[in-house]
Order: sequence, then structure tokens, then C-alpha cells
Amino acid sequence: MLAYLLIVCVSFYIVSATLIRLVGEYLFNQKANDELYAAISLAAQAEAPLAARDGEALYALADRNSDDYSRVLVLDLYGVAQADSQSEMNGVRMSRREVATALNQGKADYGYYFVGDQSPTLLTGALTGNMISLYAAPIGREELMGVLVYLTRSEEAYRSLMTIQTKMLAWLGLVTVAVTLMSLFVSRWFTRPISELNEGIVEMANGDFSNRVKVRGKNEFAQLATAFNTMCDRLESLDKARNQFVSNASHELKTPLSTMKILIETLMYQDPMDPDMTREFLTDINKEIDRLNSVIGDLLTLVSIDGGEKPLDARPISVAELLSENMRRLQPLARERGIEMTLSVREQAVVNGDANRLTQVFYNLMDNAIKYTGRGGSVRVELSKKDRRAIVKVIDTGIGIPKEDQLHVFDRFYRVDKARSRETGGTGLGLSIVKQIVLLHGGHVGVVSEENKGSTFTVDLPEA
Amino acid sequence: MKRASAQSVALCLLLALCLPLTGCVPLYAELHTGDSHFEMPVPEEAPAGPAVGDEILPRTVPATLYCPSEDGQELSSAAAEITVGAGETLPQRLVGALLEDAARGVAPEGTSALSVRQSGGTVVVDLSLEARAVETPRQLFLMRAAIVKTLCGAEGVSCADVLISGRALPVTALPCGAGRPNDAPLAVQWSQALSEAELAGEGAVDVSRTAVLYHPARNSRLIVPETREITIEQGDALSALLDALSDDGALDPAVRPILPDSDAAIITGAELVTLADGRRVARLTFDGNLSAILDRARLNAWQMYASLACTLTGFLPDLDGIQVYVGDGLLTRVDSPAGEVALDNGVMHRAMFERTIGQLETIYMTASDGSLRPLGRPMRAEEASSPRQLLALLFEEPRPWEADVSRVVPDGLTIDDLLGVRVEDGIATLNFSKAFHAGCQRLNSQQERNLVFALVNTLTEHPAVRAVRIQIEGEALETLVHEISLLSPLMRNPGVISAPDV
Repeated sequence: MLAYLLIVCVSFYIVSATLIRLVGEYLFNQKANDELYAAISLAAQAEAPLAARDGEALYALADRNSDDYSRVLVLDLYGVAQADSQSEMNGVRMSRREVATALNQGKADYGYYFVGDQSPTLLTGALTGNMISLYAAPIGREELMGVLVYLTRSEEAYRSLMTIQTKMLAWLGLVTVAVTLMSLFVSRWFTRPISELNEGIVEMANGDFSNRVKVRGKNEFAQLATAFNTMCDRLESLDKARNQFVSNASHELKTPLSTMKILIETLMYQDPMDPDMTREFLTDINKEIDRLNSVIGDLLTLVSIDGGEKPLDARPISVAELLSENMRRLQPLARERGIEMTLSVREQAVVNGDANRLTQVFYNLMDNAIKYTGRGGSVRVELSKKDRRAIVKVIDTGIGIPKEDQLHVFDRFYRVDKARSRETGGTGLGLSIVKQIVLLHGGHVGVVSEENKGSTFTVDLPEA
Repeated sequence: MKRASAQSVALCLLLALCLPLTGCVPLYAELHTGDSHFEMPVPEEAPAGPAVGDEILPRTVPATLYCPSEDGQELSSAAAEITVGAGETLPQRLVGALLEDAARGVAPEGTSALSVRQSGGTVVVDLSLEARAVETPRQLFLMRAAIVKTLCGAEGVSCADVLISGRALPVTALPCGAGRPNDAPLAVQWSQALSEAELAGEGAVDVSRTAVLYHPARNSRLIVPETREITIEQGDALSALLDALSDDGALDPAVRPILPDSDAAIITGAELVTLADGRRVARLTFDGNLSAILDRARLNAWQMYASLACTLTGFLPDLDGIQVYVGDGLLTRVDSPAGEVALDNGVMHRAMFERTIGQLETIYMTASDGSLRPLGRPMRAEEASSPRQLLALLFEEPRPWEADVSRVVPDGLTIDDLLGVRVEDGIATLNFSKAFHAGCQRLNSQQERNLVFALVNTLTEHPAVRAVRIQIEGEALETLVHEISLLSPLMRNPGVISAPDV
């Protein structure tokens, strides 16, 4: 961040300094060209009196062409002043670079001298100001005879430049401060959501799924934060579900084991035991083993569905035939329990699916309906179509599902009435398997239920 | 992250390297401070040899000689190279060049210059009596015009007066006075002169003339000329001259008027008379207490008579001399520097005072404000031609009336420290002793400058000198004391001269 600020400041400085330099060069070059021309012109006028060693004429020339802001000197070949409009440097050798250039190379030259606010020097004489321009023009068209030096005050141009420079530097300072503050503010504004997101990710990595990022506004960062929070919700839910699943699975596996342990210990330590009793105990142990086997089988089914181990053996299937077949299989059980079971096919539908898996779906739904419907009740299965989807409804007049449980009936090991469920031989995984298989076929499954009136499970599958 | 930071730093460094290229160096970093590396040139010229003794080498000066044209109506010009030797002046040589060849027709054959004196910008030429052999006043007018125009063409000469045997030219009855350059056709000038003479004789007009007045020098027995514009009212030139001699308004402090205003009444009568022997004189009647008045005014009688005689005879045409009456008595004897002189019929003429006539030279001393003050010094012509004599005046103390000036030469130094002077090609080389150099080392910058330019400015008053080179025992030093370079000849510095006291 600081590096970028430094780049901004340096860039500003370069722009300002370049601008100052360009303005300065314009101001001074224009002045220099005019005054150098004046010096060359005066040098031509000084040629004759210098050749005649006419001090009076040289002084008159210098005096006539100088004023409070300029000074004219005529130097000989040694650079010794022979005439000075201020009559102070006569006899003094003027050792200046410009003079040396004019004498050595015979060409005009000029330079600027910063003299500060010091008292008048031999160079400045009566000229006041911080800055002096010195122009040196050779005298003598055919043979070099000397140098004419023209000194002028460059105070005005210098002051203008200094003013521009000061203002520009002030603006530079202000802009730099403003840019710095704005950069800090903007960067903080930009990075704050990222930081918060980062903190959330770190918390999540540490296993805490409860942390949420504060969502501000509606921009991309807000969308990201919302997505992150949604992801957190899902992960948290999954984590809870996982914990619940592990807990439930443990419970479902431990219960038959505990029962078996008790029965086996009874058989082991109660001696002698009645043979009928022993047989009964062993029968119970066998039931628990079946139950355990059933739970593990369902779990393996779910795992295989979740893991995609067994791909669907999809082909066109008549839903009505499937339903009829399952009706036929469960009809005896329904009759045994005094439940009327009917199938109503309003429209034929063909779906592209795995016949075994779909059979498992409909069997589970019908079996559940029978299990939770009392004697004299009815279970009605309806097949219809809507929007190119096959709609299968399993409607019973059973005990129904409390409203608060309806959302969770498809969760694994979720039981509405745990005691009854076990009594009916359920594993708590049936509806979970149903849901997974339906989802695998691109369909949906749902339930509408009213307590003590009955439930309606609806499965819709896309038509082939 | 580290990579991004390194890139930023690299970018910053790159930008920083760009600073000098983009002109971020402050502007005044380019300003010169005078200590840059450069070498001042040393011209390839033969070193000036040491000046030993006093020597003025002849110089050749381009000049224009004006002579009457063949028809005698105008002046014709001829370029000439005039060689001026030691002890000579350019006006002397110019007049000599005009007269030496009678074919030029400037003056009658046999005419010679009795004297050619220059004081300041005024040259007074006194021709021999042969010049009176001209046939007509117009020829006299032509002769005067040729001499005046030739002399005024010379540098430093602004006007010239022409006399014949100590007397003003009788071109017309009205004095001509000193002539100045006049570009009007000669015929016009001649007509104007005649017209003025006629009208002035009738008292109808007042005319202005340039008169050469001679004033007594202070602390000297010399009289020195001064040029002044006078107005002749009603043709009375004598009164105009006496009034001018009484006016000390613009006189150099080195001279004084012969007739101070407060004592104007000492001349009780003045008239032009022709004596029985034919001589024409100005008869001046003084108060009977003349001696006491002169003593009170600290005036020397000889100088006063010299002033009157030279001024009047040099201005009024055909005036042979003056007669002085003190009270009722004619002055027949006067005391001269050489002893008592008996006067012929009381007439004092210019020739008597020829050796009294000097000229006012200018030297420079330090004024109280630090500038160089020009000071007049009366000198004989032969003295003024010597640079050493001129410089010797700088080693003297200021005159008593020069209260606010001081000597530029350090105490303890004398003119003997000037080992030699050589004037060649307009450059005076002064060779001073080491004692002089040592004596100068206690001078500050201002005193150093004043000393050098007092020497330079005084010597450049000499017509043969345009610049002055200062040597110390034959060597050209880098500087004398502080800043004044002795490497090259120095020219006159008019800017350091303050206005003279009057």
C-alpha cells in the first residue's frame, strides 16, 4: 500500500517539476534570446571605441544603454573591464564562465547567477534582486578585441517562477495528502469485507461454522459475503446432519446389539433355562440381527447412492406397471391390516429410470402408508401427468405427521414417533433412500400431512 | 505478496531514476556561482618592455586639413597623416602642416606660428606678422576659417582662436572671437559677419562671441585661458570683456577673476584710443588705491596686467596693447618676474606676457564622497607635455582651497618612485618601484581604485595617451593590491569623476 502511495507521490512530483521546468525554460529562454541579441548589438557598437581605446566613448555607450535594472561592461582580451556603466569594475578582471567562452571561442554566451539577498557585490553593483543574468558577446567582427558584458536583473522572471513553483508544490502537497487519505479510506473500504471474509474462512478452517460475515450494501463484496454465509449455513447444517447421522446411526446400531447382549447374557448366566424360553430368546436375537442387517443394508444403499457407486440402469419404464406391481406385492399386507388399497391411473406415464430403484421408492412409500394407517383406513395411489412430469401420489388416512416434523421426515434416522417406528420395523432410513433415489432420477418428493387425518406423499418424475 | 512489494519497490526506484531526466532538479541548480571550471584566456601578445626614463615616441594621427579652394569661395579638405613628436602637440603640427606649404593658400608665404597653445578644448594660434600680408578681409576670414576648421577636427579641440602677432584678426570692426566648427557655406558665414559688424556698429543688435579670457592662476605667476560666451551690447566689446573678467561664476578654483565684483569700481574708466604713434590701445583708468586693493585681494599686479593685455588684445581687432592709468598717472613701469620693465608710452602688449601664459591641466584626487574630483593645475605648456610632470602633481598635497579632497597616492611615496614613463601608440607605460607597490598594499579596494584611475585619468588628459599600463619594476602584476588588474592597459574611467568645484 505504501509503495503505491509512494508511486503516486513520485509521479506527482515528476509532473510538477517537469511543468515548472518547462515554464521556467520558456520564461528564461525568451528573455535570454532578447537580451543576448541586445548584447550582440551593443558589442558591435563598442568595436570602434574599443579599437580607439576611447574610454569616454565606451563609458558613454555603456551608460546610455543601462538603467537601474541593467549594467553594461566592456572587457578587453584579458577580460579586464575597461568600461562599466556603474564605474565600479573598471580594471577588474571578470572571471566568469560566459566571458571565458566569449574570449576563448568567440561566441556569445549567457548564464544566470543567484546572488541571494546579500548586499551589493562587485558583480551586481547597484542591481538589486536575487538573480542576475549575464550575457557575454564578443567584440570584433574580424578580430576578437574584447567582450561586451550585459548584466540584467532577472528578478521578475525568477520571482514568477518561484511563485509558480511554490504554488505547484503547495498543490502537490495538498493533492498528495488528499490522495493518501482517500487511498487509505478507499482501500480500507475495499479490503474490510475481504478481511472479514478472510477471518470467517480462517474460523471455518478451525471448525467453527457458526461465524457469519456482515453483509453491507449490494455490491459484489456483499454478494460474496451472502454466498459465504449461505455456504456457512449449508456447512453448518451438514455438520449438524452429519453429527446427527452419526449419533442416530450409532444409536440404531447399538440398540439391537444391546438387546442381543442382554438376551445372550441371560442365556449364558440363567441355567438351566426353559427350552421354550431359550427358543424365544434366540428368536428375539435373530430378529435383532435381522434388524441390524436391515439397518446396515439401508445404510449401504444410501452410501452407494451418495457415492454414485452404482450408476442408474436407466431405461423407459411404465410408471403404472411399477405401481401395479408394488400394489400386488403389498395388497396382502394391507388386507391383513384391514386397509383398503387402491390404484388410480389417470394418465399413463413413461419415465426413464432404474426399475429396481423406482420400485424401492414406491414400495417404501406404500409400505409406510400401510404401516401408519389404522385398521379400516385406506391407502390410495394415484398416477397423473403434469407438465411432462409423471406425478405419483400415495395418499393414506393414517395418523399423519406433525407439522414440525414434516420438514425432517426425509432426514436420515429421523423418526416422528421413535417407539412406534421401531415397532413397525423401520430403520429411519426409508424416506431418506426414497428422496435420494428420486433426486437421482431428477425428480422431487414431498409430503403434505395433517395430524390424525392422513398424509400425501407426492413424487414427480420427468417423463422419458 | 512479497513479489508484489518487490515490484512496487522496483517501480519506485525506476521513477526515482527518472527524476533527473524529467527535470526535477531545481532550476537554480543550473545557476552559476562563479566557481565553475573554466580558464580565462591569456592573449598572445609580446610583453610590454619595462619603461626606463621618460620617453614619448612619435605618433601618427590621421587628420583632415582644410584649405581655401582655388576660387577662394569655400574650403577644400585633404586627408593627411600627421606625425607628432615628443614635446609637440597635435594642434602645433596641424598648424605647421597648414602653413609649411604656401601652395595651400592658407596664409601668405613666410607666415609661421609664433605659438600654438592648447588649454582644455581651446587652441590659440598666434601667427607671425607675415599673415597680415593678405589682400582683403575676406582672405583673412578664409585663413581663419581654414585654421579653425582644421583644428576643430582634431580630437579634444572644440574651438580655436587665431591671432596675428598677438593681436586679434581685423576681419571686421566687430571682434571674431574664437571660432567653432560651422558647416554653413563660407559665403553665408562671411555675409553674416559683415551684416553683424554693420548692425553692431550702429548699436542696433547685440551679438554673441566666444572670447578667450585669461585669468590669474592661484599660487602661481601664470595666467591661464578660459573660453566663455559673451554678449556684445551696442558694439561695446571692451565693456563686455571687462564684465566677463569680473565674473567668477564658472571659474575653476585654481584661477581667480582679476576684477572681483566687489572691487569692480577699481576701473573708473575704459576707452579705446589711438596714440600719436598710431598704436591703438585700450586705456584703462584704475582707482588711485590700486596697490592697496590688489594687496587686499591678494592679486599680483603683473598677472592682472597680463590678463588684461592678453584678453583684450586677443579679442579686440587691431588692438596693440593697453595703457593703465592709476589715478591720474600713466603707469610707465611695472614689476615683472624678471624685474622692473619700462613701458613704451605706457603700452603693455601681449608679447610682454608670452612667458606668463600657461594652461590649466586637470589632475584627479579623492573627494570626500569617494569619487575622483577633477582639479585644475596651471602649468607651462612645456611642463604639461611631460607625463611625469603631470603625475608629479598627484604626489603633491591638495591646494589650500581644496579642503574636501585628499591625495590618492599613499603617504611616503614620491614621484621618484616612478622609474620611467614611455608613451607609445597611445599607451603610457608607467614603471613604478617596488617601494611604490609595497606602499600601495595598505590601500583598501576603494583607495586602490582611486589611485589607479587617478593615474589613468590624469594621464589620459594628455593628448598622446589613451590608456595606461602600470608596471612594477618592469613586470605586469596580476593585481596591484586587491582587484585592479595590471595585466592590460587601462582606459579612462569617466564614471568615477565627480563634478568639479566652481
